[in-house]
Amino acid sequence: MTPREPLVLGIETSCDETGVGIVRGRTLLTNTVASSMDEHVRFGGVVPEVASRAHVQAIGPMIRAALADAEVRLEDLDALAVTAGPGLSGALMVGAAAAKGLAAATGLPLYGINHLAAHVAVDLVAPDSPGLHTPTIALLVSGGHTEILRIGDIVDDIELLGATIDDAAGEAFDKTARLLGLDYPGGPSISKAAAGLLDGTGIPGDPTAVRFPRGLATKKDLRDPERRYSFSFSGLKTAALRTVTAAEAALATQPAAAPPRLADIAASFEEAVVDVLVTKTLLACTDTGIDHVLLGGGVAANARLRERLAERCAAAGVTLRVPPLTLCTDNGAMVAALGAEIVSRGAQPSDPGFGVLSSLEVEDVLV
Amino acid sequence: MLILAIDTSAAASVALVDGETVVAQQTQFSARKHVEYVGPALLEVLGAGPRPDAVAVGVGPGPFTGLRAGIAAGIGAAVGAGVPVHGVMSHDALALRALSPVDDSADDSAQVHDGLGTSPGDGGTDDHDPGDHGLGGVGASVLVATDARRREVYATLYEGLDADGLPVVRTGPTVLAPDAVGDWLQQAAPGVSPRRVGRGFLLHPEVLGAPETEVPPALDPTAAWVARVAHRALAVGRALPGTEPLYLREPDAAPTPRRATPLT
Repeated sequence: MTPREPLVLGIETSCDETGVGIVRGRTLLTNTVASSMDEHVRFGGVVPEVASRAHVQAIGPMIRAALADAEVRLEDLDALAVTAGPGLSGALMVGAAAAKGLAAATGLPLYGINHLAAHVAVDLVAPDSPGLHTPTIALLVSGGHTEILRIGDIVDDIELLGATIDDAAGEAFDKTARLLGLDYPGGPSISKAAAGLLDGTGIPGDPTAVRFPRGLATKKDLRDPERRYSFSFSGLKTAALRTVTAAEAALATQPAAAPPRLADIAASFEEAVVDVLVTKTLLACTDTGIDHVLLGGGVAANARLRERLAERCAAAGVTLRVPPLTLCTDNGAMVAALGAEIVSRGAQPSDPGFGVLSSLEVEDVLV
Repeated sequence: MLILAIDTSAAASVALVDGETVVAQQTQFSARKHVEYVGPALLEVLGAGPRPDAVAVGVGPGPFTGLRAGIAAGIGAAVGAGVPVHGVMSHDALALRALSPVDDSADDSAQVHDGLGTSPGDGGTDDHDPGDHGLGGVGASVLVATDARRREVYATLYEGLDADGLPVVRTGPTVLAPDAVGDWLQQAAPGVSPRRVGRGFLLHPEVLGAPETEVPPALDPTAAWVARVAHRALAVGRALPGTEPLYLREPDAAPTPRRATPLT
């Protein structure tokens, strides 16, 4: 018998967050997260082995904390869900193995689910949401992902329209922040620099000061169905490197000449990333006739991205939905939310012998 | 005391052990897919008995990814069963086996038999370890060496059993190249010629000498012997370490120094 409002615990370990969430049907009971982000700062990016080591230390305490916070007993649960991919394979394995141990000891059914679909499904349980609106275009942007999805149905009809062919947008922020001598994670650092908050002036940088390239956004690219919704940030990264080294060289040889402000470079870089993300998302809306966009992933924290997307959506008559930021970054609640939806539809659990897949296709919502 | 034990430091192995007696166990030697293996294996082994009183996990030393699969599964199982989880050094399991008599605790009739991992071409052999007995060799000094990959071995030198029947570590564990083992041993225990136990000897016989026994259960730590180590310690109220893995190596990543720019 399928419970109408299944009580599901979800585990997420695909990157550097150890997340455990519990939902009852479409009600969020807890979203408990430990992050190893601080441990990656000195490396300037997420080191998979460092993340995996942190997961195995955190996973037990996080499961216990989530149960306590939700005031739920294990015997009350109807099912377990865990991220099976995509993500860092060593990191995914910790969550999957812990979930399998938990499932075997409790007898609960276990569902291995898709991380990208879960980023969208989280709106099923977001406290401020009327529920997941479908169909929708989803823009997922983080340190590991940059995708545009068409969601007809959160379980049965997901299509990948486009993704990055090289760096994720968050990675581009990290690498360029390092170039500018700014801290990891790069997104918030670049935003602060762009706002003029790091040089003491409080004067925002000029986003048109440096004309950075927009990857895969020429007319020819947009005519090519393979490139129309795809992203590339490596050219932008190289252009940033050229701009910065040229400015540094000019400063060394002609100390009197005024080089571009760091705020201008940061603002122009941020604008280039945001512009291409927003443009392609709206293209997907126009092409599919879908008048709804959902934004997810850690880069949803970028204020410039939210502003520009809101402006362009409003102008196009498209509704923009951004879940609360704690539900946009990686978390266990989104895994539990998708798990509960899958359970409520009566799907069979995953085979206990399932493995994790670092490049799990988004169409594979359940492994 | 009924103990659920898991060790994925080399093989992938799960056992349910009552005191010293195996209720159910299964082991996949030459395991590659530890995460895949551990789900069905746990369901099978836990199905063979009542709820365990504790969980014990082999904490290595062992290669990172596989090692963590068993530890994480053990942590999950312990939460699920509402019982404590303890760590056992995986080399202790091999040492206890080497230092136990041949007729100790063999109980073949109670073991689980199924087809898991036995299909041809899956790269592994499922061995239910029909002779789940000690090695019964002569000599209290035992050098355990297991595969650390990257042309190195994990090594621990043991010196017999203590009054509680637990292996006594003389030195180690450490990770080192096979040709460095001789000097390391001479420094720690001059003049000692220990028995050779573990897959490290099978992989590097020309440098380290051949292992005492080449049957798989004497080469890789198995969960049944992890459980026996845990049982012996817990039975006399001795504390076991936590579940922190013994990696013995730092992550392969160099810190990136902060870049300085004259731009402001």
